[in-house]
Amino acid sequence: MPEIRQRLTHCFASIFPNLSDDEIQSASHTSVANWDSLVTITLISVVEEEFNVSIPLEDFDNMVSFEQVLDRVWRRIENAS
Amino acid sequence: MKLVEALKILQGAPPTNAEELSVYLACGFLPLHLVTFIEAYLRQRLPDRQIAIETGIYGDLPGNLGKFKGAATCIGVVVFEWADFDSRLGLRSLGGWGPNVLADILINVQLRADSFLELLKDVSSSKSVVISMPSLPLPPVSYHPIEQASLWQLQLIQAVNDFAVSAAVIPNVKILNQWSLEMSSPLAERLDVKSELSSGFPYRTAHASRLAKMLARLIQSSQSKKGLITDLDDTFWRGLLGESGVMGISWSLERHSHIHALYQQLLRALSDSGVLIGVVSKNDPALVLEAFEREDLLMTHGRLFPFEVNWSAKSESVGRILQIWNVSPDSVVFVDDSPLELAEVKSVFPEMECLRFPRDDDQAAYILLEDLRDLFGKEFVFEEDAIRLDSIRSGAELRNQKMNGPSLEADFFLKQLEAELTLNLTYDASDERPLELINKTNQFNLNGKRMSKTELVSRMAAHNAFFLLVSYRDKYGPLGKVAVILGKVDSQRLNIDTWVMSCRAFSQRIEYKCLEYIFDELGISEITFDFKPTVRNRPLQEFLLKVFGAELRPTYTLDKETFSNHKPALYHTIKGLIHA
Repeated sequence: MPEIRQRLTHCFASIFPNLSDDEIQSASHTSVANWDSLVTITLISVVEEEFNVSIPLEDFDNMVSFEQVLDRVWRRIENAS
Repeated sequence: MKLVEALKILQGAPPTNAEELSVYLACGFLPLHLVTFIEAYLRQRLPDRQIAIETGIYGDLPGNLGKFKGAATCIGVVVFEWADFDSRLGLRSLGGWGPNVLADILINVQLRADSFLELLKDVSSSKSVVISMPSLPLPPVSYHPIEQASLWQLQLIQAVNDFAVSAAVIPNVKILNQWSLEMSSPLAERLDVKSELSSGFPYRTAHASRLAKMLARLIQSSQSKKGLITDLDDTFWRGLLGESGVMGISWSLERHSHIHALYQQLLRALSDSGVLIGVVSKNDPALVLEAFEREDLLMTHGRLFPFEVNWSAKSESVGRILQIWNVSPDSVVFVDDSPLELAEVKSVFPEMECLRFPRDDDQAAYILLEDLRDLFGKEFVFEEDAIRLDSIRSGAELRNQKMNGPSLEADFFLKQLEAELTLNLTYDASDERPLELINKTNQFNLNGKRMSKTELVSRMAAHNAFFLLVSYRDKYGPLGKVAVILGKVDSQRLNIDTWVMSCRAFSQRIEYKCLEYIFDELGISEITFDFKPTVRNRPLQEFLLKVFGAELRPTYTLDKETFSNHKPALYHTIKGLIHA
């Protein structure tokens, strides 16, 4: 889990370069000003590439914070193994 | 390139005061990651430029083409997909896929193609356009089994291909090579259904990246190489000449050495398009001469120059060829079958592309042929390409005469050259040679500034634009169009911001004759030069130091009197003058 958290932080940093690692851990679409639907799609594309997973469409609406994205990625990796 | 890498590249700030390259991306889908990748690849190719990409409105490609026409940007990328020709060929509309709609789709595609063609003709009259034809697989519209190419599908593809053919002949339009894209991005791995349905972006990220990479290369082409130096044994032909003898070497199907015949054929084709081909071989010179008398050679002795056949280190031979060609190592490719020889040459010329001819692996050798084609790829073949080898051969003879002749005075040789210049003061947009000179010349180049066709056309449209294209010939034959000067005239002052001259024209004092003409015949009293030193423009720097002395600085101002005091004797005749 810590390794996944670290890689996910790296993914977030590529999209939100102005956030510190600590800010990324608590980031959500309500706390980050420019986090809109297109950013969510870009974020999911980056995450899918990084972790080689496919995140279903219905999960998109529930991936609007760092913790939620981490949770979905973790579940996908668990299901795959 | 992964999406995360592209995003990281975009986070880096371009240099301050970087000149902007503005590109308009017109497509009917949401451009999303395609914009990111195009910008990232352009940033990689042009680290000194600031890249700006403008996009249009989702779902309205014709409207976006119209917006591009009105936009300030002069380079456009148009990415077509099937849905742009008929929305029923996309996944986000539900207009029906039944047999009853197929004929209507076909008619609609043809109408749309005609309309796009008119828009492209209109836009490309003042802008450069790069086009990608539909790269996604067709949706399951046709009722035929998937392995059967239906008449409808063939007609549909023909309609779109006919459109591409018509677009390809429009000046300023380049079409992305779909077969080349297929090599890096297989058709089955391009469509991202989930992304198309969720956001309207239809490409998998890997496909978007590969497509963007090719588009960026079309927007900003690489400089093609100028010369190729080849080894002979087990490269140009199969076998060791010294061991097997003249009839023992081969390049034929019968002797299982046909790949060497293909290599010779490619060298001949490159030579026909103006690439210089030289030979470096550790061999007996007399034996090599004898081998080149064989009539079945595809690349004959006369097309190769110079021959460096000796037993010395290959880097020494390569160095002599570079001197004769007067080109820099990074413009040249060296091909040899021996990793040791390649490493030796590379150690002396690290900028040179050194490629191994894999003599025992036909498949790998074939890939080498493809790579060579790419390295020497060019958009046009000019008259100058056909005479390049002869002019270099003449130049070498001239140098020999200088070394061995009765007088060592440069003037003696220049005087008997019977040099003639043709000066063209009128820019003709259909002549691509000035742009080639501007974008290929490194050594005699005022500041290393490059430009696109559209930038050049736009600059020349200004009321005070100055243009001078110089052609040269002497008793040894023509060199063709060898120099370009661009600038702006303000009353009696001329500001030159682009000045390039082919390396084949060095030492003939053409640069002095140009300035003399500008001062004496055009009524200019003062010329300023926007100079910038580059790693490669040493010959230009030396010229400035000769005229101005002292040390190099960013701007030079030259008046008629100073020039008259510094110019050497000039023996050229102005033979032709083209003026609007």
